[in-house]
Amino acid sequence: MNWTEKYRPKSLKDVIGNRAAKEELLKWAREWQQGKPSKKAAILYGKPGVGKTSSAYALANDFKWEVIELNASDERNREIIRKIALTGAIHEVLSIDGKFISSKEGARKLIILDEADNLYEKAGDFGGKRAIIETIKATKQPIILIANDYYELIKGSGAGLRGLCKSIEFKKVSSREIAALLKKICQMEGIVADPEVINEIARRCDGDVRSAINDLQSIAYGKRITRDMLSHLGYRDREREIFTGLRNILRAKEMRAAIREAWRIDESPDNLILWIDENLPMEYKYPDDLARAYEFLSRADVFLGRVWRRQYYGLWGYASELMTGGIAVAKKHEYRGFTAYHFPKWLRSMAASKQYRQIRLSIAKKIGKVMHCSSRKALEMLPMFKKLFADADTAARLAARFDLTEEELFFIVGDKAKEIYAEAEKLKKMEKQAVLFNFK
Amino acid sequence: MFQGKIKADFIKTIIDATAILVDEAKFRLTGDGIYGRTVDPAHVGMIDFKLNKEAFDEYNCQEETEIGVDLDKLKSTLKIAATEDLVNLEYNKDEGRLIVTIGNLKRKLALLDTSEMADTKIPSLDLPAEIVVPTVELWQAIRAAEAISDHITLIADKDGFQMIAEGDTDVVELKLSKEQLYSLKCEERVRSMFPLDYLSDMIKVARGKSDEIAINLGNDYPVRLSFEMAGGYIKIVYLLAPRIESE
Repeated sequence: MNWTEKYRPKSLKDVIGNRAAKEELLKWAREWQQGKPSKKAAILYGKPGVGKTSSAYALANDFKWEVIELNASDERNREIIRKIALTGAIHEVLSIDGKFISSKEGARKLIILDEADNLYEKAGDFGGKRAIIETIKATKQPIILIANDYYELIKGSGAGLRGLCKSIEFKKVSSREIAALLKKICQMEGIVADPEVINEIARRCDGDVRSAINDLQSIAYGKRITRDMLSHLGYRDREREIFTGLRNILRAKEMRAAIREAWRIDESPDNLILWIDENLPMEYKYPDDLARAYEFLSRADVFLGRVWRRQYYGLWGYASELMTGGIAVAKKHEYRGFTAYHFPKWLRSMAASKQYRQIRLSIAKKIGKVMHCSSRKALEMLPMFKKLFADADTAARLAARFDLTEEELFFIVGDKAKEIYAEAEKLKKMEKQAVLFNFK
Repeated sequence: MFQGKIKADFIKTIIDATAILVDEAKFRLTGDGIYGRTVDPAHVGMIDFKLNKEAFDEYNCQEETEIGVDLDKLKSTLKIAATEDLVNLEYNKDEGRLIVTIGNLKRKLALLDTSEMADTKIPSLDLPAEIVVPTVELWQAIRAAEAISDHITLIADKDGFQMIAEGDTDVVELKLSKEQLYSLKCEERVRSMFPLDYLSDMIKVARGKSDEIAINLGNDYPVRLSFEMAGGYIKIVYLLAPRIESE
């Protein structure tokens, strides 16, 4: 299970940081409790992961309010907002825990509009914000709008929101408070963690509690967290962005959503395909889904190959849509819950083997030059040369002829490189073609 | 393992009845029949239905299970069946899919994960008035009211039952005296206001299937609508939250 869900605060007092914002929020909720709020809705805004959504849910829990939510995953156009938020706002609540209390007796439902600055607005439908304003004007129930970008929310048709809502800013959470929380989580999970690693995670996350918890979970495979695990977090900043994007692509319910997500994460298709390839089997558990998805992925790969060969980047579009939209619609099942994604193994091993490959290539080039063939052909012959190099005398002559460095020799003959290199240098000094070509 | 054969009309009715509130629903398959309880996303309307095993031509359920159903998908599958056709439903845990057979046609329907679908409990409500009304009368009143307003007030007293919808300029009123009702139990006058769109959808489900609808009503309180069909083997209960009229 995802730790950010597992350890989501139950009560507002468990939400870390943002003392002033929580106080404001509490004041607003109390006004509702007494029946006469000065502002019927509140906007919680601030950077991702600082506790806006958590605070809203914790507040509802503290006041025993039923929650009606409109997630970003829903297509929140004017019609849906009216149908769910507005309807919910002017009626009593049928709570699912088997009790009915009317609003006269203080029962409320809290309507939460997450990512309100990011409404679904396709061409010709700009009614989303207007529907929110309409809802707030009519509401008999508390409403919370959550936004990362306050100005995105109140610009244009959202201008009316500023006057209608109480705006509460959530600031970055201090690394000290985040570290304390991470320690607590480790304790509850029974994990022994190096305090320095904890502090480092808390510092790196830049006030984003959610990503700090995700980072912690991603390295806490065993029951121990040691210092060397920090290196796994090296790629984090970029990875986090891709992880979210990847999740949205793999779990997209329709083609368009997956494609849009791919635009957002701004990764070239030849990289993205590696990420998808690596993580597809983590997400798609049903073999038939997986088979269909890989079918699309392989078709995307065919296009990537054509892009490379023809150097025609117009084909990227086909590759990109197949690997995102294609695999999104390939699944017949729905996948939920937490999945740990990984950095593509291929990229990691390519990075690790970079030096190795460079040496091999430089040897092949030198061989090719002498043998009048391409380095690729020389690469094919390399195993045979390794056999020839087994004899120290031959090895020295060849090394001199190909002008190999000691490092390159080490790649071919291993420990004997030093002697052979010395011998080859001697031979080179003699500069006698005859000697060089007088093979036994 | 579950297997049941049922008249297309019956299963369609149940799916339609649930689909007016939600897109996805959790159904409980038990030895006695199929149960479903769901609340709509705005928490304004609720359904509690029971499809007794007697409504089926064949019914086998060895082990109680829950399935999560994408209602639109099931609806489109059932669309090809005529009302009198028999639909065979089959489910076993290992397969994880609902197999719907209509005539020679078979569709395997992927199901949804129920673990994250909330368990809905039905609120126990103390509703002082009970009125049993002819469905036709209710439907006519709803149709007339929809033309002028988006909400409607239900009133009951010891003499009869009333529905009043007020638009900006016009008023629609249905008045049924005690004699025009199937039954009336009401000591004191009660009154609540409800959203018309929900009420209309709910009554539409009963229309042509059940002659009467039982209405339980209170003062600014939810209303309970119940009706039966297939000789009482299908029972549908709707709850609808009232509009908040004053603060």
